[in-house]
Amino acid sequence: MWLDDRWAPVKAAAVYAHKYKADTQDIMQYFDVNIYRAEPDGTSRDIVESRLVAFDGHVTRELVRVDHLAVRQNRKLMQGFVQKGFISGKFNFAAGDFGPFREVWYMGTKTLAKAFRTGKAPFRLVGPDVREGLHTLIVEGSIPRRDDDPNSKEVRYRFWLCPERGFLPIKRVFTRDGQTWFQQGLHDLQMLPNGAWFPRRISSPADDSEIGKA
Amino acid sequence: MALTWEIQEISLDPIPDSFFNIEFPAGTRVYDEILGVNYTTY
Repeated sequence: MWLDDRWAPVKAAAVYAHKYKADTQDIMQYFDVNIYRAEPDGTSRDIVESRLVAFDGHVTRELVRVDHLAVRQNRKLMQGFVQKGFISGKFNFAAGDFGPFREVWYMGTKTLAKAFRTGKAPFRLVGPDVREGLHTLIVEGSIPRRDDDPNSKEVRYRFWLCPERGFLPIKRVFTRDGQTWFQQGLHDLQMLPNGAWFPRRISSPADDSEIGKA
Repeated sequence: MALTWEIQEISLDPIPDSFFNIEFPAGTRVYDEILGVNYTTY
């Protein structure tokens, strides 16, 4: 983040909550995000700005508080916005609007279940794999290079699904012409009281050595 | 770019619907697209 005429590392800490009303397309969401200046000693002090955002199923309400004078410029300390529908992609919340839930269970804007069934890339079962003692099934979707477009690239989306952990996608690797451009790993898997599994840590890159350590 | 999410708490407690309807503190300048007006809360 550009602060005081220089590029300064920042750290985000957030509270995230969601609640389904009917299904995954009908979701209420809440974000409380604080951006701190990251100090050289590893601590984080001085809130730069904060965003409190809530979508109640109909309206998005956003409260922006900018504490850093240079970032605030001529604006007021606190500004509020009320907007129709869910306002996407403006919350300084790095992984997108569904927070960690989306990180785990989505591919872009689609749920994994939908992406596997109806995405542009047909998915197929590649085979079993064992990762850090966990049995997984590798599924892969691919979009071939187009013969009529010399600039097109072959794209592959590969997921390691873990049946014994609620089919969590404990690793995903996306490649273009064999070059990895995105990867993610789920770690410290925990079974919740409702029987569902969820990671306590989500990392990119995937950091294989930590997968499965509950 | 390396990115790590550390999830410190996972709650299954029912969250009241009112949780998703924040109120603006006094003195907040608000633009309301629904009403098409600007106002300051008090």
